[in-house]
Parts: sequence; structure tokens; C-alpha cells
Amino acid sequence: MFLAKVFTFPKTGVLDPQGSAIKATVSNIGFKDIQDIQTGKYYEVRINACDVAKAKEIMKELCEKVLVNPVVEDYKFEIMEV
Amino acid sequence: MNCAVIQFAGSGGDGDCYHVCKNILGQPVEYIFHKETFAAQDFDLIILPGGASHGDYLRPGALAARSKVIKSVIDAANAGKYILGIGNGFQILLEAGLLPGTMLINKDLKFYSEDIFVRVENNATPFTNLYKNGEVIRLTVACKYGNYYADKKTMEQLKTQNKIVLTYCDINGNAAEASNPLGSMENIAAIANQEGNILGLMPHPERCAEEILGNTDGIRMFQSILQYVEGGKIHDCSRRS
Repeated sequence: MFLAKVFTFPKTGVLDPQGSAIKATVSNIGFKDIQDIQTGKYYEVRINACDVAKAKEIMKELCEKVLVNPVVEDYKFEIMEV
Repeated sequence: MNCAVIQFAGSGGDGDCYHVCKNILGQPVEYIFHKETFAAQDFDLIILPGGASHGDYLRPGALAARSKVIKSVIDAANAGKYILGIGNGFQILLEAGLLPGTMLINKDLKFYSEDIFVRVENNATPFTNLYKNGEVIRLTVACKYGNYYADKKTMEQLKTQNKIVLTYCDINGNAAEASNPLGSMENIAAIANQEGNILGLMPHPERCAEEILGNTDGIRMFQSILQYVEGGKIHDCSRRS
């Protein structure tokens, strides 16, 4: 069994209104060193696969077909055996 | 005109669309559940209604776009049938790849439920032929993800191919920023596919379709489709307009 930790987040240049709203609020309450905040989503996926290469292949397909909207989102994931 | 209204888990506008087809247009209409399939030849118009299908989980329209019935919707689209996606139905069409682009969260993160004005940019479509080009009509929006976004190339194509069908405007038809509270690119409220038989729009024409509701501007969209179908104007998908 493998565990994949997946992050999806807006592509560079795509508006992230939630990130902007959070950034504005943290600036208002005094976090002067915060340059930028980008929001995203986090998923944990458990996969039955014979090896890590196969698990990666399944995850890539899952991300591209379902988890990610390629028009506006990028993604990355890490896989570990559990 | 044989109409179908697709029901997803959480659809909210299905009853209104059914009512408009049956009682206002006087046409036969059936509900189709998202776990079912249908034959393209059985229907002329397929409506994907509004409402947060599947709880808007993952992304609005994302799970509905991967449900069983969508394969039938795609077959019907390829057969030249008319597909109308309203609100969340528009988001489903985007997620299913039947229309280009996507919806972001509204620019100020608010859910908007209010009347808005839209300008008819293209009346040479099966969905808008009873409106005049440049006409300003009043419809209603109810959405949190109505901020249309497309990459530069897609936007150029939409413009050059005249596939932007409705845009948000003020009462005089001007595309002022204040008249586009959702933040939609180019004030886009509705787009059509290249072949012209699929329309996605964020406002709800079915909620503005009879006197008792105080607004009948939306009914002409349904009447346009009816006129097209009853007039025997079978859509030719092989000819790219």
C-alpha cells in the first residue's frame, strides 16, 4: 500500500481571490513580513499498487483526470510506502 | 420538442426547468437521473440545471461532469442536439470539456443572488434568435463561482468566432465594472461551443420566464430553441460556423 500526499494550487498568474483576502487580513493585523499567500488543496490518497512506479503512474492519471483543473491549477504529490 | 432535464445529487433548478418546458412551452419533458443513460435520438433539448450538484465538492461541477449520464450528454452533443447548461449546469459543461475555460470563485468571494442585466452579443444562435443583437435583458444570478476564466488563446478564439453570447452590463448596455460583480473575464455571462449547439450561461432564464415572477425576459431563450427545433433547423455539426 502506498500513500500519496497531493497538493493542488492556482497556476502562476491565475487570480487567487481567497489568497489575496487572507493576505490582506494578515497584513491588517500586523504580519508585516508576509509577502504573499496562495491557497490550495491537500489530498491523501491510498493506493494498491505493486511498486512505487505504478503508484506514481496511477496518481498522475488521477490528478490529470479528476483532482486537478488543468485550466487554472498545477499540482505536485509525494508518495510513500505505508 | 422533446426535452430532458438532468438531475444530479443536489440539483436545485431542475424543477424550474421542468416546469418551463412542460407548462410554459407546453412540450414533453422527462427527468433523467445522473446514474442513468439515454439515447441521443430521444431528445432535442437537454438541460443541465443549476444548483450545487454533488455539494460542489472537489470543484463546482467536477463530480457531476464525471457521472454516468455525461457520456450520453456528450453523445447527444455530437449528434447535434441542443445542450443548455444553466448556472451549475454551465460549470458542469466546462468541467466535462464541452465548453472551454473554467469558473473561479467570485472576485470578492461573495455568493451573489440578485437581478443583473446582460447584453445579447450574438443572436444568431439556436438559444438567442428571438432576442435582438445589443438588446439588454434582465435575468437573475445565484452563484459563488461565476467568475469566468479562460487562457489568452481560448479568449481570442471565443471573440474571433463570436462565441460570447451574453455579457454582463448596466441597464444601458454598458460593460461597466460595477455591472460585473462576479469578476467574469470580458464580462462573460454566456458562451457557446464552436458548433453552436451547446450554450452555457451563469444567469437563470428559467427563473425569469413568466409574468407571475415579475420578469419574462428569460422565456425567449426557451422559445428560441423551440422555434429552431420545430422549424426543422437540424443543427449541422459538421459545419463549423
